Amino acid sequence: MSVPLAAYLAVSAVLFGIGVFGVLSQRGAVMVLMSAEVILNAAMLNTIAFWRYRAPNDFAGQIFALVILTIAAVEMAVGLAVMVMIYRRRKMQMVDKIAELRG
Amino acid sequence: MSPAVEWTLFLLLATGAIAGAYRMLRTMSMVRAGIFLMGSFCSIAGLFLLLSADLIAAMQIMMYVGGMLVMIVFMVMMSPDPGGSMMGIAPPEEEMDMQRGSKQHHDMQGDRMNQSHESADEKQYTCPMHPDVRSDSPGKCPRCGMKLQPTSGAEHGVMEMQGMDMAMTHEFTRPAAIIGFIAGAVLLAAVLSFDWPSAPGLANFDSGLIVGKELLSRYMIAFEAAAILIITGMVGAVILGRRE
Repeated sequence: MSVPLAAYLAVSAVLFGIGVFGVLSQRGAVMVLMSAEVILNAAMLNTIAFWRYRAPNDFAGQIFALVILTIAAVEMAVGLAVMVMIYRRRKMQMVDKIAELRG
Repeated sequence: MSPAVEWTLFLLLATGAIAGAYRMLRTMSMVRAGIFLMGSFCSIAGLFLLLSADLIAAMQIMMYVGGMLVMIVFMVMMSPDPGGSMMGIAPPEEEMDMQRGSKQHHDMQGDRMNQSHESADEKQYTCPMHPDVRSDSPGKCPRCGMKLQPTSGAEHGVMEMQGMDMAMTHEFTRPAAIIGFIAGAVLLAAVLSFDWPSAPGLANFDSGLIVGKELLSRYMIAFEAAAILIITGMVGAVILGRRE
């Protein structure tokens, strides 16, 4: 392992920043969800890097990553369902125009 | 793996991950954004392989890249402009009426129509990302390489055409960029200021096998919690998405 842990953590810090920027700046609901996925991916990369460099013989790190993966999948499914509903009622999906969830 | 190979792979994959995520936010086409994000996720899966977490890498490909495909299908279904091609074309009238639906709007629209007819003879092309890039002939933007779109009046400098706003980012993009930059920079500074110890050797390279065994014994609770979470999410998505 000649690449230091800090390099992986730096990649994930940059990804996190990009994700935060995306969540705050995008208008399409799908794009906001996709940016949230970038944030979750950054967290997962961090978890796996820490597992490999700090405790490679305790596999809790990988199991934590699996849980993050599950949360991301559920988030995507529920987010898409909310969007389908909003789109059906209002025929648009720009988050800056939607101030309430109640139809 | 020799250090040179490892560094090369790491730099390639890290660049792919960051560039994919960044390009996702800077492109005007939602479908293209989805494909960039898929590229970013694949690079991160490569990083997981480098970290010898093969099971997680495989799941990353299966769940995220597969999930992105579904997302792209949804974007094509629901976005008024998934390909970014409507950027220079006026939307159909019903859609505008739905968006604003006022009498006053019709007058405004008439005015704008006249404006665009007046300037129709001098056709100009501009980049959807860089409105200050102007050209007399169609081609590619010198800065980002995107196809230039025809403009038909001064108001196309901002990406709002006749009531239907197609821009993918809102007007507070700059504060958002600053917040994102600060978040990344603080984390980066924290990472770089700490002296991390180097990696211990890996006792067992077959991590997939061990993770599977641990999931069904010591970490059964995580396994079950994930299962309950997925079922809850599925039921919730079905309830939300049903037609009443």
